[in-house]
Amino acid sequence: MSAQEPRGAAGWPPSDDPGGEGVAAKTPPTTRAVAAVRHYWPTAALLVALVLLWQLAINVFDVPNYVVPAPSEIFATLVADWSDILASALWTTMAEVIIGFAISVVAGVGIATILHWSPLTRRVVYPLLIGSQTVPIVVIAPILAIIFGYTLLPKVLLVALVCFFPIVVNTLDGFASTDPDLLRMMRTLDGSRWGSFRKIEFPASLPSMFSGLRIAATYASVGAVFGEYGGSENGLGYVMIQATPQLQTSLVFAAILLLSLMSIALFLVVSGTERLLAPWAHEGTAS
Amino acid sequence: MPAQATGAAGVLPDPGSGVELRGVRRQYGLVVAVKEVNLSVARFGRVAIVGPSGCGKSTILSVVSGLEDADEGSITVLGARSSRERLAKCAWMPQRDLLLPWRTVIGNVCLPLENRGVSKKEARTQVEPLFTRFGLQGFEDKRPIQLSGGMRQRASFLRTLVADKEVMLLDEPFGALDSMTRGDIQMWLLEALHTEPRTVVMVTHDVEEAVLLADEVVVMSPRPGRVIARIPSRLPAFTSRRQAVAMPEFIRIRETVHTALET
Repeated sequence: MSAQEPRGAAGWPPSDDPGGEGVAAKTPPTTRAVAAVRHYWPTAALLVALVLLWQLAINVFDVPNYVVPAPSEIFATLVADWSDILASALWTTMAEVIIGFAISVVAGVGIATILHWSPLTRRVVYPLLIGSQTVPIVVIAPILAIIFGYTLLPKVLLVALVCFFPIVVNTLDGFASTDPDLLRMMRTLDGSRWGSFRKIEFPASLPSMFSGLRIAATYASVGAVFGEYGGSENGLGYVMIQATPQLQTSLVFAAILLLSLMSIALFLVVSGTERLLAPWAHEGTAS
Repeated sequence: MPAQATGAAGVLPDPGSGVELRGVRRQYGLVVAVKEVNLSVARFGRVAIVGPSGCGKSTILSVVSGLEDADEGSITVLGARSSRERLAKCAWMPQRDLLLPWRTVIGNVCLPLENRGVSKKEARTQVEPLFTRFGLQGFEDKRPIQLSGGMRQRASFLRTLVADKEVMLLDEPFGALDSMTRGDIQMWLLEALHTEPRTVVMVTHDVEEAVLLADEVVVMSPRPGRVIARIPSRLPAFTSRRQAVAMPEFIRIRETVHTALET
């Protein structure tokens, strides 16, 4: 093959792509909505069936509503007590969850980064980190309330403490499981240590990091409720602990429902953020 | 293909030696991967290493690149001896394209420039013409997963090219491709190396690929790998792969390599 050779590179329009796969078509949003409905309707149907069964059981066996309230009862309480009690309780707990979660994300990813960069720190700190998780969160709650009073702070700290661990562990795993060949490739392309971290290890860790965030998202409300149990003046946990001895069981259930919905919302926000930041992680296997 | 050698050597000073290995030994734990390896690749020469699986072919590329160091022996790459200096002179491209899935195709190709402190915008401007030249135009902003295997490998090669290292280490670069794509991309690579000459050390288990792409085929023994034969592979000019593989010279060299592999 010499310089006057007419074929080769010049004969390579992309349409000649021998695989012929070319570019994968983008799925339009409506199709995705249909797919989502198709995917989730059995779950939704099961949920509706369970609620109906619950309603039916209460009616048939004539269970008093202070023992187990019927779904209709809970819904009625939700509407009746919304503006006086539940709305402000929800906002309080939501603030604790969001602030605590945000702190844990920043601290968790930050600490994972430090541990990843410094093997010595990792060796020293990691066992302590695991050890710290053996202290039950329930016993920390009242202690924090003693130290910081009935303020927002102890709840936020508790949420952060609960969320922190899965985030650190999963992020660290994500860093460590970066394809070593990618790092070798980066070295041959004159990548610095920092460049490799920023351009390879960090993005590579995102799917694992978000697994941690999703777990943390479901823990967050538990942390907030324990915090409120430990001492508080408002919040969904506060409502529950007040309503239980008064046998306002349907109010307790209404609070639980709101708490679940909040956790689900947080979970969805985290999942959505992941799809935004790491869309490639859901596109099947690349490279 | 004499055009490459003369054209390139005219531009650069000191023809000298490209890559030199003297008595190289590399051991992983108790396993001796390669020993007493002597290899010499002229500047802008192209050497293909063939040998049975596990004979340490890839190890040679790792130690040449400076990603690893040899346990014994000396390695010189364009005069550089330390692994750090070698790393600065070698580009490495493995069988897997290793494109970053979170970057667009052009983002991947720009990576070596960004590593050298070139701004993203400037890198893009520099790299864009290459997409046209190497048949990837229109795919700049696609994600790697949206391309076929052959195109991904071309993008990966382009990235290696942009790294602008004189020595290119190719570790079974087309091993993951189907045979048709492979034949096409081999021709594409020849053309690319013709316009962008490099000193190439490549590893392959495909003897025809070795004879087609290299001007010398080095045959290695089973582990611990040693060089057992060096077979020059100079073919008359050809315009297609089909034409090349039908040449009597090609067949003769191929058979010589096969014979060396069997001993």
